[in-house]
Amino acid sequence: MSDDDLLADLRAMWRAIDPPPPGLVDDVLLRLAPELDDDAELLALLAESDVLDGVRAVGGDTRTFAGDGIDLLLSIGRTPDGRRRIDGWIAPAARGAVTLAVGTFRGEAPVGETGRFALTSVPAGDAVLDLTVRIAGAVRRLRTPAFPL
Amino acid sequence: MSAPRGVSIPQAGDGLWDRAARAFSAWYDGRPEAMDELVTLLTPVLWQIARASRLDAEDAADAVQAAWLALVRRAHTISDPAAVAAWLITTVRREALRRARATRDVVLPDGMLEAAPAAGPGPDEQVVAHDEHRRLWAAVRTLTERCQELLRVVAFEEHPDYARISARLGMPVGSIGPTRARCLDKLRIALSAGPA
Repeated sequence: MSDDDLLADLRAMWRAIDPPPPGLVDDVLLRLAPELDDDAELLALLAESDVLDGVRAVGGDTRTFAGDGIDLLLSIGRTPDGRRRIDGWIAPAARGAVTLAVGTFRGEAPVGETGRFALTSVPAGDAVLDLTVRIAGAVRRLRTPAFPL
Repeated sequence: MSAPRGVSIPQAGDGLWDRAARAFSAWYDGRPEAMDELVTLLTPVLWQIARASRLDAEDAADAVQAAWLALVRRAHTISDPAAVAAWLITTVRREALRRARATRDVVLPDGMLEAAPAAGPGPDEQVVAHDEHRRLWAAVRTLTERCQELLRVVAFEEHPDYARISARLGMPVGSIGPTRARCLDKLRIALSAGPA
């Protein structure tokens, strides 16, 4: 029996005795859905710190976004090495997770019970923030329009 | 020609890699449904690669998911669609090894690995109904962990690239060809010695 034949038999054997769990393909597709989905609710930019004096944070900029029954406030600061730090909070408070995309960079952070999250070192550039939160038992996916960091 | 979801997965030799390359190209060019096809085609192979590192089912599934997530996030770094399967296999392999290292705190020296009988989670022998599969599995289990791992990875690679597999298994280039041959020889001996 040639090596190739033997390897083909091994392949068939492993497929038969140790196949993937039946739900694995669907689990993968579900896991990818938020990454691939273009149906996230788009938040609207409500305010920037330079047009709303009262919201200006000390030493940084703020952006306020609003969606259906949810607000997102971002405070953007600079780190000593020229990167950006983002402190965010959502109201009403809800647990979840955020992903910030700047070019090919991806930063992820959990959103705690108080609705707060922090991304401590992200590059400057045009950013999009994706937010997944559980509100009243339902999962909602929200996305900001692109904004400069 | 694209495969509808739910069709049986073809043998690695009959164009799986080519179909994966086409599905990846289609997805990258803006056909979202092509990702379903790509995931359906390659997930079973990635599962086998993850399980080669002797991860339990949950960790293996996590490693497979992590590889897919990495793909959609770094798709732009894959310049040649034909490389998508190799890229995924390398990624799941790396992820599986990382998880395997994290769950195994005892590292055996090489000699002991060669001598040690295979241990750790394996497929349930009860489900090995087919006679040929049972006979082959019994023979495989007499091999060292390293041989079992290498043969499983090689078996699911259509075009084994020794430099790439070598890097993945942490074996020096030049030894993997002979190692593969030695593992296959041992398997043949075990098959001829075992009960028919």
